[in-house]
Amino acid sequence: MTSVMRLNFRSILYLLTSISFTCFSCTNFGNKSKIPEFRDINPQEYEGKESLFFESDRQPVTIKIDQFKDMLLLNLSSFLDTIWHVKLSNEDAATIGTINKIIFHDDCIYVLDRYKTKSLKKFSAGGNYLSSVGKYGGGPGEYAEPTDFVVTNDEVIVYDQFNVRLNYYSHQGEFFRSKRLPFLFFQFRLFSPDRYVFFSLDNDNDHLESIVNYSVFETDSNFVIRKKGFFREKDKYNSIFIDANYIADGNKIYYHPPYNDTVFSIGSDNRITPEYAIDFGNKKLPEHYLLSKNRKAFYKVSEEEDKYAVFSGDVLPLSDYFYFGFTLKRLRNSCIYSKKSGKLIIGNVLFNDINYIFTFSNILTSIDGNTLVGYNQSYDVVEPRQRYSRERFVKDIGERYTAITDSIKPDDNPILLFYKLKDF
Amino acid sequence: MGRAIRVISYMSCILLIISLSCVVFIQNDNLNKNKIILNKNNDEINNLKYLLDLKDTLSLYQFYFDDFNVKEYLFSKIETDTINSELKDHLNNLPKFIFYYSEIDCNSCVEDFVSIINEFKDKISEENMIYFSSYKNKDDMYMFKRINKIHVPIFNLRGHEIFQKRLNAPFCFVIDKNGYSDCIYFPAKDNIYVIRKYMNHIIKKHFNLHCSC
Repeated sequence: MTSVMRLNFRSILYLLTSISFTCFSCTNFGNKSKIPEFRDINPQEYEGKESLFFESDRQPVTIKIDQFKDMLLLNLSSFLDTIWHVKLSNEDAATIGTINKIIFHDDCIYVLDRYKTKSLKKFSAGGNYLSSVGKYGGGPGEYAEPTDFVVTNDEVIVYDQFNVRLNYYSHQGEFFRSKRLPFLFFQFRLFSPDRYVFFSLDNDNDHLESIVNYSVFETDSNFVIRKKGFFREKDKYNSIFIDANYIADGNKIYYHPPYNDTVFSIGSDNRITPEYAIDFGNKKLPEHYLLSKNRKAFYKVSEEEDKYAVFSGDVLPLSDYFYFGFTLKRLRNSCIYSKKSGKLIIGNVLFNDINYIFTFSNILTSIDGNTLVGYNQSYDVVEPRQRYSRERFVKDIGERYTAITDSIKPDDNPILLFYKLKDF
Repeated sequence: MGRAIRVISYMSCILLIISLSCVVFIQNDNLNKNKIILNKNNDEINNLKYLLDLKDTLSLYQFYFDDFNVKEYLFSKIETDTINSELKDHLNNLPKFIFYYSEIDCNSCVEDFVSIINEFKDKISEENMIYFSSYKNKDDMYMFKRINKIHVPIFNLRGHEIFQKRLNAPFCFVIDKNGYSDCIYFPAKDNIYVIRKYMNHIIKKHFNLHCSC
């Protein structure tokens, strides 16, 4: 009797264990990846040996903003020395929609249009079209979207987010090889061929527990994670990605955690250093507005009210200056801080009193230390000219600049603009 | 005896587990299949709804088009000086093939159709094509023109749309030599063959050219 009871008890135990096993095996409980491409990724190959970036205890330079006005008129001549332009050529192969990133390398300009033409094009310093690096498509050397790219001395590396891979090309655009990636990210930089630094924000990297809650991580060329930093719990905060939050500058990367008031650098020594802290005083946005659950309140407070300054990103370090922007009730304020004098120039209505025809907009990068680089769409340059007679235009801005606007058609390729900062 | 009972019990347990696994698997599989079927059905229902809406709108447009002199209508708008007077020159030399789209239309539908229109540039001749659109921001209009390699003007009819009721779908028609509209057509993105047939049809009917249709 006892043996039968023991038998039944054991059978029931077997049965329950087996049922539990069966039930769990019929679900996707164990597979955390939401991305089918990562289902066969073995996390052990990529994580387990990583450590945190070192943190410097250096104090950042604090920039205090004390002017918050609806109308802050700023003449470009108050902080710019000269403005010059490069027209990108207009042949069919050179067509660009909007520009997301520019890299200057060996007297050439690489221009990325991530969304409109989904292309990466190479132009001469004078704006003549030279070649395309890869193209939109599904074949070898093609990409579904050129999400980001870097140019090294040997090659051009294009990140295709949709196909989760890096494509490697020669500087002339010849396809070399592609590498499958074990994780997703937004942007990347290379310190050396064996040192990649990635910027990821709430990407679906749930299969790699070590990085899913970190915004920046460093790997070797096989994408084995070595360092990580900038903890940010996935999906906890508003995830608004801004290109200009992750900037390579020589042997440093500048990183601005979205909406944080501090801009950090990551050095080649794996050290995170707070570089600039923007002090918005009583206009500082309280952190609870940044939580995902308070998204509606955030949009209300940032777009309809002028209670708080929103510092989403848009930063650019220069040799002697620090350029950044913030918004107050949707109005964009441009700020240029001089490292030498500590002076801050700020404005939200910018008037080009240097050559009148270009606007100060779409700032993307810098060259030669103290020259900002941005672009204008051709229509924006031509449109004011269309409103007036030529005589009137010549009288107001002179023959030289009228002739420049006359040479531009509204559907021409975008115009690159170089804004050289002056000493202040 | 006890050993036999134990073996039978084990066997029964294993059989029970296998049966249960099969039941769970089949249920799970059926559930997934049902979900797929449900999604497909929903897609079909949405497609049918869209087609019905399209049919209604088309009937409405054809009703308007029956006795609708587009040339006169547009000239009256030009007089208000809100539409670029360059259009007047274009409308003085009819027939014209018109492609009418809005910036809120399905972007890939518009771009795919424009790429097919570009194939017929030689047969219709670009000066016989007019693009009408409705853009809030002219920057976007010029960018569209540049990206899609359109070398003729796009006229922004914002505020003066020819039709009050608009589907979020691009369409095309021909303004015949008397200024009246003809051959209204809503290109379906996935049916390239029919789009090409339509283009050949209007070329034959309005542009006096021989074609393979």
